[in-house]
Amino acid sequence: MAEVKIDKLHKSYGAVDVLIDINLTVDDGSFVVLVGPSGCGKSTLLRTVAGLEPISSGEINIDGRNVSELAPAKREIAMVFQSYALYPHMNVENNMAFGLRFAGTPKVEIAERVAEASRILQLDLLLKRRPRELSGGQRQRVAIGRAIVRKPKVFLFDEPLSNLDAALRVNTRIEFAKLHKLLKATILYVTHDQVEAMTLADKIVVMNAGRIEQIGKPMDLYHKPSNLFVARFIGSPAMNIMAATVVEKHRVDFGDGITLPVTLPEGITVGDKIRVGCRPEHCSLSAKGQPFKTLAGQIDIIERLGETGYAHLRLVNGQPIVVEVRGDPPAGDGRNVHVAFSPQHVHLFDNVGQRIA
Amino acid sequence: MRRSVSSPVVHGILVLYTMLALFPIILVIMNSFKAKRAIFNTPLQPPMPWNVDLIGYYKVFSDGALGTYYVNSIVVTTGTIFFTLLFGAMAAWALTEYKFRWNTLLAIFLSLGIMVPIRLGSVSIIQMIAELNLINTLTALILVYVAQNLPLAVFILSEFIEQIPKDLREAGRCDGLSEYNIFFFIILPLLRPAMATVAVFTMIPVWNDLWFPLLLAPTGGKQTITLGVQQFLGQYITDWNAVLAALSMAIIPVLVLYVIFSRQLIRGLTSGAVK
Repeated sequence: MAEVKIDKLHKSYGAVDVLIDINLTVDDGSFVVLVGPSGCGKSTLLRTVAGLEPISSGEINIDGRNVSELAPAKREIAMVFQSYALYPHMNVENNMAFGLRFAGTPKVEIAERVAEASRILQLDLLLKRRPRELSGGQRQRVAIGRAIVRKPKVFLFDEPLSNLDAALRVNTRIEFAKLHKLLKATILYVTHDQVEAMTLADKIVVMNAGRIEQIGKPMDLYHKPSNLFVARFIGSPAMNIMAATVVEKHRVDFGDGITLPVTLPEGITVGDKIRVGCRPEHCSLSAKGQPFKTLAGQIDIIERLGETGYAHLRLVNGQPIVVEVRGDPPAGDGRNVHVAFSPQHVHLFDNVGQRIA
Repeated sequence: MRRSVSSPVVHGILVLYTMLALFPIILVIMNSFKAKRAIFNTPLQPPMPWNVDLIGYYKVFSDGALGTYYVNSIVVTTGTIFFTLLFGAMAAWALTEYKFRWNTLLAIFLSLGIMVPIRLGSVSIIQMIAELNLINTLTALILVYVAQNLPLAVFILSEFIEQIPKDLREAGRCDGLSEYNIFFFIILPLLRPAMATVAVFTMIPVWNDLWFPLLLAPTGGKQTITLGVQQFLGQYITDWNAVLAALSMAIIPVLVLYVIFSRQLIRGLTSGAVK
């Protein structure tokens, strides 16, 4: 296994920049997830590491070796495609062994590696089947098997779960986590699903519009998003963001004269426009108003998920806001309530969206 | 749902059409087993014990040259199919997969061949073949037929290659295959149904052609079967028994080839590759 180091990577299609100043280190044996909305460049970044897309400038190092100009096969990587891309005219065994045969691996060793991979992935009984005779989950496992037998330095996964149904996706996600432990592999994994990112990753890379917005451990991103984009993207439902104006030291105005005390860092002066964020799970509802700590609003609808629920409400200044409610909330459509924030969980961003506290 | 035409009517029309299409062939085969008098007196009558005569087949089999002509036809047809498919698939792959400078221009140039009938160039083809010292060789015929069939082959195969998921080629690249190996071991096997289609389209006109064998290989034991049969057609006397027998025999090889290729036609293209 090996470390991947991406240095000042830049890629453009003609005048369009698709990857801008990407600097990223994937530590040896770590599971790094690239996450972001569609079109943010995460798949393109993965494909440049694989060597399927040329880069415009910068450097990609795998295990200390600059591979920027090398063909995919010479980079000692293995890629699992979203569509699996199994060779339809070969059975499972040949699908896995195909690349090794061309690499001139001795027959005995090929057989050993295929046997080992099929044992790990429980494909033993399917070796003679063609891809069209397999279910989606089985095809997925063959695609992973094809990657494992190559004993690559780095595994690249391009949205491997998005073609599976919901139940299978959860199972396979857990399988991935186990597999990573078992193989101690360096994995670079692309997904648009932030739940996958949170559950699988040692380190998450949030991308947007060709740039890396933030790199960090899942819980760091959750607790300390460095900007508004990450704050909105990580966590479900998304964080509530409210525009506010600083009216006096440690007090902000949300418009229409609703003010709340907030601990502001140095350098923020009266009159500054800021954004205040609070996750639904860190907000709570109270029936009685405590005018200095809460915001008044009206419930539009309550979504009940069983153990928890989400109250979608509208503050008196028109701002929509989502609040997590525990247990079995009473029916409350149209009810007037007050929203309280837990002060230590409030996120503050400046007017351009960078975190200030 | 309203059904505008009932299925018996549809089948009736199809049966009628099939009969119409098969009638000349059946007539040829039927009469090839009959005596000369019966051929002319009762052409529509099937062979009966009193008019059966195998003289035609006897002549065909005893004529050693006809065997050679058969082999010539088979060599020319299979050779043409082989090279048309090989070069056609290679060209189609290059034109669809790789972006290079004259890509579009080359594609247009190749598709022009579909529109221009090759027979218009017969005179220059003869000159060219003569200068290459290839008159009266099967090579000449194969060269001309490959040129004739290549444009359509490239056109059809390109369409099919477009449908092969891009991920498969990239999986091949990640697996360490060279571009040639990707073509031969991934693309070609997946193109089999398309190639069968092209093979069938190519085979029939080549097998039946009389024009180029007459121009390029009329003598020297290099005649194809369609040309070879002409020896029984004289200006004054035509040996109809032999002609019909030879023609009936000529159907068999195409039929066999067709059966081989048509089995590929129904196979799904890339089922199971993705998703």
